[in-house]
Amino acid sequence: MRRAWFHGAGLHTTLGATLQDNLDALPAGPPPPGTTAVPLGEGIEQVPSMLLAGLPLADVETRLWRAIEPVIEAALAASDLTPAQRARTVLLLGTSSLDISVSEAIYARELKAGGEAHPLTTNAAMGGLARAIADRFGLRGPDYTINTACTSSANALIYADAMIRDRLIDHALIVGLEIFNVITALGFQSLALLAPSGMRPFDAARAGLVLGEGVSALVVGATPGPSGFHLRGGANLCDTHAVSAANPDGSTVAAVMRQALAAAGLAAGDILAVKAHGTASLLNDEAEAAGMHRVFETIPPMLAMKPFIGHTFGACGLNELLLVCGAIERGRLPPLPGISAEPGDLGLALNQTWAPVGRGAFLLNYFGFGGNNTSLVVAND
Amino acid sequence: MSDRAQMMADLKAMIVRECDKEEMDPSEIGDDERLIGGDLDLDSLDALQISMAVKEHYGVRIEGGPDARKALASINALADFIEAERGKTR
Amino acid sequence: MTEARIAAVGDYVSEEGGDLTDLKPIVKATLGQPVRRIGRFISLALIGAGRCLAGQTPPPDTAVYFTTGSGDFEVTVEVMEHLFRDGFPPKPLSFINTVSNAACFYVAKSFGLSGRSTCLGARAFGFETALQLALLDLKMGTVTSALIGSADIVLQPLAIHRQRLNQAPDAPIGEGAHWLWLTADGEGARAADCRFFASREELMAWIAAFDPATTVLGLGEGLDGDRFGLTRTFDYRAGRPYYDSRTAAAPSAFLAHAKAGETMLHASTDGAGRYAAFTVAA
Repeated sequence: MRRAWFHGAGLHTTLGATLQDNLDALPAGPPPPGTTAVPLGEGIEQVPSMLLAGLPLADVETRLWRAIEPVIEAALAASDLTPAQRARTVLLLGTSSLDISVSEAIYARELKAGGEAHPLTTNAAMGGLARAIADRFGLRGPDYTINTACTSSANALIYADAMIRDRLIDHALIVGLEIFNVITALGFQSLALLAPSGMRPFDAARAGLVLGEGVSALVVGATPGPSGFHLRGGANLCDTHAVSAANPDGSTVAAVMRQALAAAGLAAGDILAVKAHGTASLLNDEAEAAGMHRVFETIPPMLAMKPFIGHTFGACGLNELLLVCGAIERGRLPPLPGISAEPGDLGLALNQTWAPVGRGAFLLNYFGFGGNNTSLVVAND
Repeated sequence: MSDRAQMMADLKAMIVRECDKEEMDPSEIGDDERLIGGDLDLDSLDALQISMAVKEHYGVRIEGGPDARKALASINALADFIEAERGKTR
Repeated sequence: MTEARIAAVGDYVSEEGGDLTDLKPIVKATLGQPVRRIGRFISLALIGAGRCLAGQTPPPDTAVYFTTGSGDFEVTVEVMEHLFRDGFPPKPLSFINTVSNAACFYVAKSFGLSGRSTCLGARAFGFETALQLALLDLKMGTVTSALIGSADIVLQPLAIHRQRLNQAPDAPIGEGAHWLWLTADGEGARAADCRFFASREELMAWIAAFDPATTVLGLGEGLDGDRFGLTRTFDYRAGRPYYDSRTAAAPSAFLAHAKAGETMLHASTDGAGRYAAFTVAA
């Protein structure tokens, strides 16, 4: 069956610089968040953050590429593509912040140098980064930059799957990218959505999110890879309730989960575990919990991956998928000890231990600004 | 115009500008009219936007939660809040 | 073959040379009411989509595929200057609009749509990627109605904006928004296909199947005199100010002059040997 079957992958988050290191860190549960000092005017703002392991926030103009290259190398190296296959591989870059970290650093440097300075004079084009990545890795297929806020890289997987099923392509490289940038950091602070003490999705003590950083890459191909994981179904819908929050009654969240289940040919009862979007903001969690109760008569084991790596925005689609699938390949579900240990006011509890899990189908939720809601069903049976 | 009256006029103009209500004249906002969730059709994002503008223009921080709801209840309440906070630092 | 009916087209183009055109009255005239908390970028997207639909109501599950060369320059530059030059944090409403798919949200909200929604970019082939994915979703049955659109804005100072767009200091630049409404069923003009080619040879092999008598070559980006053996050409770029997403202007520009039975084969290249092509049949 032609689907987006998962092949080689690479992942760099606060948990580690390789996929292996990331997966090895999961049994211990989420690490504590750090803070990053961000200069603002005359002062310094401290923002809660979980930055890339082993890649200090320095020399920002080159840091993006230093983060991207090893991750994509790892994914391609583990995928056994012939040179001809690699040349025809399509690139889908799912990101909300693109290379804005680089644009910020250039502008800040030019301002400091004095004289006339204007933002975005060098790398302004939305498709510029994807093109540079494709060129760097010798990919001659078309490239797509998918910019749908926090669903970006999840939507990239849905499109890769559609192109494979329609025989337009045999292989795609999906890249998720979120690199620390001042606009995102202080923008979320302006929205009063940052929580210094860590993310506690669905918990009565939830207070918001921690900024995460992550780069992920996954090669998908038309034939099964070693893990047997593939996208079994997916859905993306637009919720026009509000630009920054899903409808709190859960109706729109339920609709996208149901459509993804229908696309996968499954019922809610077939799902072994659900990876929540779980931003730990008041509004997201309220809407997501309401949606879960609409769709699931019995709530399956629930995971939330943002406490492990922070919110990696446009990259969270692929980052969290790789963490969840990697844990399941090891026969386990990642634990969130002490976070929503019991169902609270939202009626949802999170998985607490490195618990055994079999093969089957899993639902992953992603919701973004601009009302962009996506659910994925992945399966390895 | 008294300082207080001037501040209230400035706040109305600020709200019209910051929340992009440019089809209305600032003087149409009543002194005691409910700002958020009322006839002005302003929501929680507008509330954050107003809070940020108040901080930039008056140096006064409106914290989230019940305090913000009280401070942003009306133009009069907002002016009271700014005067009280500025009084604290003098 | 992937194929969809073009139910409607709508355009906005304005060359900008001095004070920028005030878009607020145009938004109000197009939608019948003002829209709050949006800048030039989202305004352009709404004007284009509104002119395309022209009072018609698409089905609520209509999907939106939106492309832009550079996204919301205006709000991104404003936030960066406010932050790095002036030392203030991003304002909440500005920050939210820095996500380019905020434009998709306002289009969906203004026309009551809840279908899938995607903001796409590609260096040379932005419109083609949006059109291809829309045609793919229509073919797979994922959607039955799709709005495909573009927007690119101009920002003062114009000299700096030309520099951002790699345009000469005296090059005419402008703002543009172009929207197409595609449906899976129906009669009339068709958006028939959209493909990418890794080399000129691959493109030529595909073009060989078209009848030169009824095929018009739409002159896209970077062709530089290459005509691929076709004799009839359609140059909708001549006299048009520069903006990144002007390829999106091609379908409606062609349909405005096309005779029945004619097909536009529109080709572009990225300057690195890759090609993209799509067809529109009148």
